[in-house]
Amino acid sequence: MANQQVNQVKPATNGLRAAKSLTAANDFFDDRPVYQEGYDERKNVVIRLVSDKNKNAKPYKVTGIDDVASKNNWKAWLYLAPVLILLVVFLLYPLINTIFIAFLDNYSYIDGSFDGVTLNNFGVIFGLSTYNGATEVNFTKYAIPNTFLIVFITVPVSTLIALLISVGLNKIKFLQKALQTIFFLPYVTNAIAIGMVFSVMFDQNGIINTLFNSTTKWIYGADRLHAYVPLCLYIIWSSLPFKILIFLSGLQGIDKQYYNAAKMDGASSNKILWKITVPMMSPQILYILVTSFIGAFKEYTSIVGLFNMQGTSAGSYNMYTIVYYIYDNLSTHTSFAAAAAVFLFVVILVFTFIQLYVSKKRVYY
Amino acid sequence: MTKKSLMLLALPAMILASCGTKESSSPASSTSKPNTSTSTSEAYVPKITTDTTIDIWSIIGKSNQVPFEKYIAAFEKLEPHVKINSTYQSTSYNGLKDMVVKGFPANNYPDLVQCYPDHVAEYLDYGKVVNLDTYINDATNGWTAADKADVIQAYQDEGTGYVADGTYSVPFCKSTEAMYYNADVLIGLDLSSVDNTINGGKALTETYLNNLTWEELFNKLCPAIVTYNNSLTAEKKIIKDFAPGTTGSGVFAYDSDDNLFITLAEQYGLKYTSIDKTSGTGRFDAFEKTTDADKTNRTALENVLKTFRTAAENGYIISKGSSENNYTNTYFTKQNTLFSVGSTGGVSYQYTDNFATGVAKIPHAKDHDQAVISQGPSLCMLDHNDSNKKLASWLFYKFMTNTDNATDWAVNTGYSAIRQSCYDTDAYADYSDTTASDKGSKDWLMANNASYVPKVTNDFFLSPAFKGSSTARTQAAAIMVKVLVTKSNDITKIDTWFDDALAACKLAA
Amino acid sequence: MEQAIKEKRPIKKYEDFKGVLVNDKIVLSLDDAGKTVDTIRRNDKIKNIVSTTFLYIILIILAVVMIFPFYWMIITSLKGNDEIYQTTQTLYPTIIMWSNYVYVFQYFDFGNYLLNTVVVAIFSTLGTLITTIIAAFAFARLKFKGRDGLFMVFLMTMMIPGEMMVISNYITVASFGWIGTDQTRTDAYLAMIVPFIISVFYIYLLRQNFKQIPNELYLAAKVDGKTDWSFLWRVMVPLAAPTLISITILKFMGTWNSYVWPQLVTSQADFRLISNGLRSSTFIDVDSERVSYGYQMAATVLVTVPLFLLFVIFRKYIMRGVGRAGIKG
Repeated sequence: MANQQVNQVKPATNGLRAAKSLTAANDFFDDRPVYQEGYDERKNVVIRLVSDKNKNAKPYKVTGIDDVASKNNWKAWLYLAPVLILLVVFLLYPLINTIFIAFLDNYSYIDGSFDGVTLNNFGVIFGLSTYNGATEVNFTKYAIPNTFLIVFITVPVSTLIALLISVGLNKIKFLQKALQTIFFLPYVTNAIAIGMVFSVMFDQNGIINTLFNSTTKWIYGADRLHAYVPLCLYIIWSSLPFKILIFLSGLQGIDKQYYNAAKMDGASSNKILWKITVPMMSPQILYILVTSFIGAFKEYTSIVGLFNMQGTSAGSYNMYTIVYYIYDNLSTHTSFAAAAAVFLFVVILVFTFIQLYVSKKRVYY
Repeated sequence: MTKKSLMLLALPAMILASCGTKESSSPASSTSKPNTSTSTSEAYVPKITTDTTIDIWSIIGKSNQVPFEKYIAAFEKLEPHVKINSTYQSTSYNGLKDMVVKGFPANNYPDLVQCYPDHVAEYLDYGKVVNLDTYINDATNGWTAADKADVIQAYQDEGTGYVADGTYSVPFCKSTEAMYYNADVLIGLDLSSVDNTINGGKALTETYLNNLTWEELFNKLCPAIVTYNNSLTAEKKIIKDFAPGTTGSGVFAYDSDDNLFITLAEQYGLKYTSIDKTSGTGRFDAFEKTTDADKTNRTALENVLKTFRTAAENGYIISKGSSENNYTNTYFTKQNTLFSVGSTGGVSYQYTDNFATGVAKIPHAKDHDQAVISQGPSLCMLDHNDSNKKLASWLFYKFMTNTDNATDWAVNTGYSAIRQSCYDTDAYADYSDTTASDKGSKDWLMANNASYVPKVTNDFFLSPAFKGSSTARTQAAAIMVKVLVTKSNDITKIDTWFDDALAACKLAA
Repeated sequence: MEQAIKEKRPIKKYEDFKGVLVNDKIVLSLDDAGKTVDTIRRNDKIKNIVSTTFLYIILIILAVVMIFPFYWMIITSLKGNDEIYQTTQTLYPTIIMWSNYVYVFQYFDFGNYLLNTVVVAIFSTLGTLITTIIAAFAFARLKFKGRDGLFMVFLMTMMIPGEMMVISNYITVASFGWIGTDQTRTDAYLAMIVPFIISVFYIYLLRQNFKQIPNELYLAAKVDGKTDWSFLWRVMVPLAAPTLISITILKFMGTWNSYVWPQLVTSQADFRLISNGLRSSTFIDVDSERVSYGYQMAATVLVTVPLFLLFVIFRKYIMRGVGRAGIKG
């Protein structure tokens, strides 16, 4: 590598079709002189080419260039200024407000009044203390388990399916465009329509039961185990298009050189998938995993869309989720809703931290 | 276009009763001009002298907006300084309540809002509802003694059924429940071969059906009908595809589970909910078991429900909750049931081409008085600390509910008229004239429905509304559904169901 | 490979990311014994055809599953209400009710809702694009103190459910004077657009893409003395164009489907968006809460078509992928 000249690196001609973007980038570099690795006397800098494949190599300090880069410290804040203002007002302030409210007793957001600072809100939602003589059981009995189950079933499954579909879609030539469009359809279909369709399909006399010749109740009057089937299918189905979109986009960006080389050496498609494709797509995969986990923890609209109430029959809470509890108590018992929201926040935060930590060594940019 | 699609195009206008679709040449009531005064015809003196704007939020549907806008326009003519902004929100009643509550801290809420009593209880909790007593009892602008005697008492009672003293809501879109039945099959049905104690061994008549008790229904009529039905050949069956336990198959259908529970409690003289005005809290009497009176009440209620369970197991009764959450009128119109209890506001859903639908009172409890639920949203006034706005809002309401306007409203929307005098007007007489259309036609059903309502106004009862009463209603429905679907050995769990209901209600309070 | 050895060319070594040589060993397996090049080639071809067919079959089955609800939406829009409420569902309408669409055109205030939705969508998308680009750039490319911590804070704002944000944001927006019965159309638009301009969801996405743009490009530009700003807009943005187009379409669709917030902050039905219109009393009987599904689905289909066309037009730009350009000359 040491003697190679930079200008010998050519853009892969079959990987990216002559993209306008490439031309733009090339134009940008039109008047660029030739570089050679080593000490450039003219500009008094040392030029080293850092390859992104050498993950285990110690980072080279490129003197001169590194220093310039670090001087941009304060300018970054300029870039972020407008974003930060809006973020603080519309995203951060509600977050902090929610955390505050969780510790206030009997908060009423009509006039902002409250009875004092307390930890009891958390006690009530976890069923440790009583409110008005009754204990809240549905939160711990149903909302928390349901939420966790939904997260750990739907996110890995949908991510894996989306990955495989994207890889498959990328390979085929014949129906590629049509199939890509079809897989994006759920995103375009209106939520009302989707909810209605699923509840009709899984009706006792619906298509699913007709196809499999059974009379099981899937939605109304179903037991929890059966009710999870349409619920998970619904969530996975509606989350696939976005994942496929992101994965496909990422796949297109992988240089075909790698595939050609691997093929020449007879690597099996399995090996190609796991040793080349997935690592090259790791930024997208991480993004999808992190955001999907966050989204799945907040699951609520799918329950309403399918069941129209908190459970599979009137008065039942067996399909409760954390956000559903929050929604139910938002105006009448804001303190409890806020406590539940803070609990959810902490859970999601911990999971996200774990994910980001675990991914540090496995994501390649 | 097929007949079906023509009917569907008429769906939005389905509540529109006799006008425009009748063959006879009686004048269309929707074009009658609303009178500006109730009894005397003196010139109207505007009461508001400064420019005032009032906002009304409702979710009235497109077809019902027409008469409503009419009253607004007429009122603005009377009171030139008043401007009314009527906004029709595109959401459910609960969504509307949400909008109002969220709007309180931002000062974005209306002067008059369409609401259910449960919603008013919540607004009251935030201290935002105006006590209308001052306006109702006002010497110059209020309701006279004649007015107060005229407005149906039960509706006035609902306005005072809150934790605080005073009137906090006034009737607007009221309706009640009726028992719709398959007239072709039942009127003249002779069951003396099966059981000759029914109607004294004679064929069934309208009077008989109007005076049914639950005991008569479940112990005599339904068993007789089932036996009779089983003896018929397949083409002649009076109940199609009758099979106890199958979804939607039964003799009698009562659509709303919560209404059934609450009505039964009232009919059997048992307690459902109550308000302690001194402490300003509500009480869930039906589910409580702290005092001895509570325990007796609850046991009696449980026993009544057990009889319903037995009836359900025999295929005598179904409800929406016990039919996979499907509206029971769909089974009624297919002749899978012979009776269907539903809202008088939704009478058009009980219509079918296949047979004539009759209207009768719902069954009552033996040896007890009749009691029929009154339901539907009302109107309440929210406080903006502006006396002009409040007065203007009250005057508009008063105008909108004078006899002529109230009759006009009832005739055009299918809601019940709120004044006794409305039922005596010519317009209403036309509306409820059953002779004007062919038996079995939709107009005939509408007319029957209209003439039914005044017959039950004295049987109305109401439940108080307080924080948590809507949860009580949901739990009542839950218990009712469980009762109707459970098998005999599981009914012992009914005690736990009541306990769970109590816990849920207390958490919501 | 044998040819390479014959011609004494250096054998390229390929390593995977764990540093293990992929082509380390030349393995002669008994599998390949007794076969000619032709046989091997033919076997490979057959394997290829079989696996491709298999792939097609699976993809088509999945596609049918994906498309089914969409198909259901369309046939429901062509069915009469009676048929929809039947207990046994039909896979194809018995009578095709074009009258549903006629009714919708008559009673549904398309023009108004469409105008509002398009205006709000365009400005929201523009706002989001600009803020996302500069924020993602700052996080991906620039080094500054507290970068990772700040990014964590950004992520944290995603971890609170939307409902809790609604109350606070509603009061905030009201304090700007954008809400109330005297609300003008501009006020309504502002109230619907501004709170949602910042989307951490998309900032994160774009940051991942920006990070994939090779370091060499940036270092080269720096050495040349080009500013960050010009690098951002003249190199990075064009390279990440497919992602940006995805974000545009997704944000656009988000506005199309948004329902809760517009309902809350607008004081007149005139200012509302399409999703609000779809749930209005035009299609729902408010008292019994029965939905006229035929009409509602017809309106939904009409509303979905432009979105769908948008995607079809921009599909190939999205699917092009983030460019990993090499550097020319």
